[in-house]
Amino acid sequence: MKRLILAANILIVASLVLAACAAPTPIVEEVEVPVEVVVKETVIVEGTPETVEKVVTATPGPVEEEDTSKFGGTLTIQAAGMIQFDFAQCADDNSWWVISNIYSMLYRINQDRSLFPDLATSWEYEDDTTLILHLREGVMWHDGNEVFPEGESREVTADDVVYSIEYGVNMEGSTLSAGFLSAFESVEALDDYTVQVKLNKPDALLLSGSRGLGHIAVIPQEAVEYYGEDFGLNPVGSGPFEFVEYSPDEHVILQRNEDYWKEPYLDEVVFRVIPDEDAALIAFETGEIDWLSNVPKDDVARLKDDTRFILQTSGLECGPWIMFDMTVPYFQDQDFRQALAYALDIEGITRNVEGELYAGGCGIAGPGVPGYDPNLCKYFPYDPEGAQELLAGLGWEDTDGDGVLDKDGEPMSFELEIWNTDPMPRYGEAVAIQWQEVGIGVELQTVEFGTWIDDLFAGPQKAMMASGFCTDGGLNGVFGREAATSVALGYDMPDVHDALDEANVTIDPGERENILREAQETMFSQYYAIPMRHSTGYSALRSRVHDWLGIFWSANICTENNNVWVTE
Amino acid sequence: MRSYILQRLLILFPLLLAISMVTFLLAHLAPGDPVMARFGLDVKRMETERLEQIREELGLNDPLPIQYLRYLKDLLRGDMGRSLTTHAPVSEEIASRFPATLQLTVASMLFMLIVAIPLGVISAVKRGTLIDNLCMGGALLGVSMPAFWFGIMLMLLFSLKLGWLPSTGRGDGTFWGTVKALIMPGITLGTGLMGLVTRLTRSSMLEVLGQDYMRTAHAKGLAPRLVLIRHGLRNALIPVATVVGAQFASLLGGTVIIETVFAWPGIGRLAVDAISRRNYPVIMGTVLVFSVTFVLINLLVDVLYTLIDPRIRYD
Repeated sequence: MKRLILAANILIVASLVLAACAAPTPIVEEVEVPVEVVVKETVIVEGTPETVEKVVTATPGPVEEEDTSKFGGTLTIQAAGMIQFDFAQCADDNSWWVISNIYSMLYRINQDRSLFPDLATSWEYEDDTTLILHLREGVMWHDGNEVFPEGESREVTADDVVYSIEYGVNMEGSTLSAGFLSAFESVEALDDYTVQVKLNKPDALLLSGSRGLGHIAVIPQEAVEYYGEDFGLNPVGSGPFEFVEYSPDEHVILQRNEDYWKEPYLDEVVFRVIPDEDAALIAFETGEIDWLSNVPKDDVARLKDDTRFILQTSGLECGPWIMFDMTVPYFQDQDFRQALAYALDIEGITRNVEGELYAGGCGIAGPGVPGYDPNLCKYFPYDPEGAQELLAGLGWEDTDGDGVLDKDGEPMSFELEIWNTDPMPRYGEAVAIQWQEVGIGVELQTVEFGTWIDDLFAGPQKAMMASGFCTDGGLNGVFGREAATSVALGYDMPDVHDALDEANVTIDPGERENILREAQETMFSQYYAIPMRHSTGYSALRSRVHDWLGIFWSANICTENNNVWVTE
Repeated sequence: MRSYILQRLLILFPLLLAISMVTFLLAHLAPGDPVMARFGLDVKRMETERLEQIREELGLNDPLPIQYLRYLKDLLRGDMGRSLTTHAPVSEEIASRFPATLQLTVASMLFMLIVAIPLGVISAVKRGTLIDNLCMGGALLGVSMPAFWFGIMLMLLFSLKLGWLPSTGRGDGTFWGTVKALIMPGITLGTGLMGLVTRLTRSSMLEVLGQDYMRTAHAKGLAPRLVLIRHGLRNALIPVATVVGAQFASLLGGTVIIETVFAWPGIGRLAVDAISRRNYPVIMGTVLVFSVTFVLINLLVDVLYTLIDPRIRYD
C-alpha cells in the first residue's frame, strides 16, 4: 500500500513534467461541402411577415474550400467577462459582443472600420448637422418572451430608433461618448422607416465605431418599461439571435432568431466567460471554444503554424504613452521633456515587452486610424548622451556623485505612476530604469486602476502612464481641450486644442486626416507626451468556423456581409 | 447545549454590525469611487455636472454616517441593495454564485481530507522513516506550489493532452458533467490546503500515540489498526476539526485564483471584481454573507466536537 502511494506520487510528478513538454497531436478534419442551399427569408406581404424559401448559391468561402454552407451547430466565443446588456450602460467590449447579436444596430463595422448596413440600409447627410437614416422594412422584435409573447411581435420602426437614441442620450450615466452627447440636438421619425438626427454642431465621429451612433442598439420601449432596472439582464431585441440565458461569470446563450431578415445558419451562439488568458488558450486548443479573443504573445508563432487555427490581427495598433502633470515645474520645460524622451530606447522597450506583437509606429493614432503619421518616430530617437546634454543645458548635474542629477543643491525627484495590470508594470519598470541610468530622479509607483484614476483627477503632480484610446477620436479623448486627462494634467496646448476642435467638426475625411496629423505633429514635436511604439493583438479562430468577419466592437456573426457557419 | 448555541447566535448581531461598519468605512475611504471606476478615462471634464448628478443619485455625496445608516436600514429590511454595474439585487448576485462556491468547497475539502488525514496518520506511525519524510515532503510541495501554475499543469495534462476532463467551466449541467468539471479545481484547491492538515494530523497523532490509554489498548490485545483508528485518530481529530472547519468556512468566501484559472463562477471573483470596480453594495453584501457563514460554520464545528469527544460539554 505504501509503495503504491509512493509510486503514484512519482507517476503524477513525471506526468506533469511530460505534459508541459509535449507537443499537441494534430487533428485532420474532413469537410463535406454542398454547393446550393435553400435559405429562408422573411418578407412583408400586406403588412404581415411571411417566411419564404429560395435556392441560393452559398457565399464563397476561402479559396481552398469548396463553395458550401450549413445550417446548425453552435459557435462558442471566449469572453474575459460580461456585465449586463443595456447599451446605454455598457462600457466593456465583451458585453457589447452580446448586445450586437441580440439587438439590431443602425450599421455595423468591418475590421477596416468601414461601415455597412444593418437596420439602416442607407444614410446620407442633408447638411453638416442633419443625418437621414433609411431603415430596413420587415424587421421584427423577438417573440416568445414576457414582452412579446409567441406570435405577438411587431415590426421595428423609426419610432423605435427615436426611442433608443433618446434613451441613450437621456440615461443618467450614459456610456455614449461625450462628444456625441454634447453635439446631439434632436431625433425624429419622418415616417415609419426614416429617421432624422439633428446635431447642434458637426460631429466627425457621428458615424463611427464605438462612438456616435455606433454605440446605439435599437431597443423596444415595452421591454424597458416591463423590466425596469432589470432590463440590462433581460434583453429583448430584433437581432439575428435571441437571448436564452445569462449565467453570471459563466456564459450567455443565444439561439437563432428564425424570423430574422437573414436567417442565421447557427443554432446557437455561446459566449463563455474565461478570464484567465492561459486557461482560455487551453480551452481553445481542446476545442471547447471556437474563438479566442487574445492570443498570448508567446504562443502566437506556435498557433500560426497550426493548421487547425486561423490567427487574425486585431486590426488596431496601440501603445501606452507617458503624459505629464504640467503644473509640475520640471515638466513645463520642453527641453526637459525632450531629454526624458531621448533617454528611452522606446523601440527596444516595446519589442522586449510585446515580442511577437510589436508593430512599430509612434503616436496615439495607429495605422489606419485618422491622424496616423509614420514619421512621428523621428522625434523619439534613443539618445542618452543627447538627453544628458539637454539636462546639463538646463543646469542639472550630479554634483554629489549619488547618481541622481541635482540643481541648486536640490536632487531631481518626481514620480511615474502606472496602473498594475499587465503589460504596464513591464513598461513602467523599463522606463524607470532607463531614466535612472542617465541620472533622472524618478520613482516608479504602481497602483490599482481605480487609484490611478483617482490620483489623475486629484492633480497627481507626477508623470502618468496610460494606454488605450487608439481608435478614431482617441487623440481628442485624451488630449482634447475638454478631455478629462488634459484638464486634470493642466495641458495648455492652444495649437493642438484648436486643431483637435476643428477636426471634431470636419466631416470630410481627407481634410480631417490632415488636421489630425498636424495636431499629432505639434504635440509630439514638443514632447507633451512620450508614446511607446505600437503593438497589435491576435485573436484565433478554429478552422471549423467559416465566413467569419471578425470582432471589432460588434461581433458580426450574421449580417448583410456574412453568415457564420460551422462544420461539426 | 441549547443555551450555548443561542448565546453564540446572539453574538452574531453585534459582530455583524461591527464588521459592516468597518467594511463600509474601508470601502469608502479607499481611493477611487464607483463612478470613476466605471467610466475610467472616458470621462470628459465638461461632464462633471453629469457625474455629480450620478453621485447624487447614488447617494455618494451624503456624509458617510448617513450613507451607512441608510444602508443599515435597508439591510434590516432584507435589502442588500443593487449592484452598481449590473443593477441586479446584490442578494441575487451572491445567491447565483453560492452553489458554485459550495460545490468547489465541498470537492476540495473531500479531496483534501481523503489525502491529508491518511498521510498524516501514516506519517505519524512511520515517524522518522523515509515514508514520513515523503509524506511531509508531499504536503510541503502541495502547499508550496502556486495554485495557478498547478491548475494550468493539470489542464495541460488532463484536458489538452489526454482529453479526459473539461478545462474550464462548470460542465454541461448534468451530474457527471459537473463532477468531471470539479475534479481539477477540487484537486488544485485541495492540494494547497493539504499541507497544514497533514502536519497537524501527524503532530496530533504523535501526541495521542504516546498516551497511556493507547498503551493500555495495545496491552489489552486489540488489533493495531483498531487501536489506531478508534482510539487514536478519534482523539487526534479534535484540533484537526478546528482547522478543517475554519478552512471550510474560509473557502465559502470564495477562492479567486482557482475561480479565475478554471473560470469557476464563484463568490471570490464576484468579491474581487466588486472591489476593483468600487461596487460598494456588492462589497458589503459579500463581506456580510461571508462573515455570517464563517460564524455559523465555526459554531457547527464546536457542536461537532461534542460528537467527536463526549467529554466536551458546553453547559
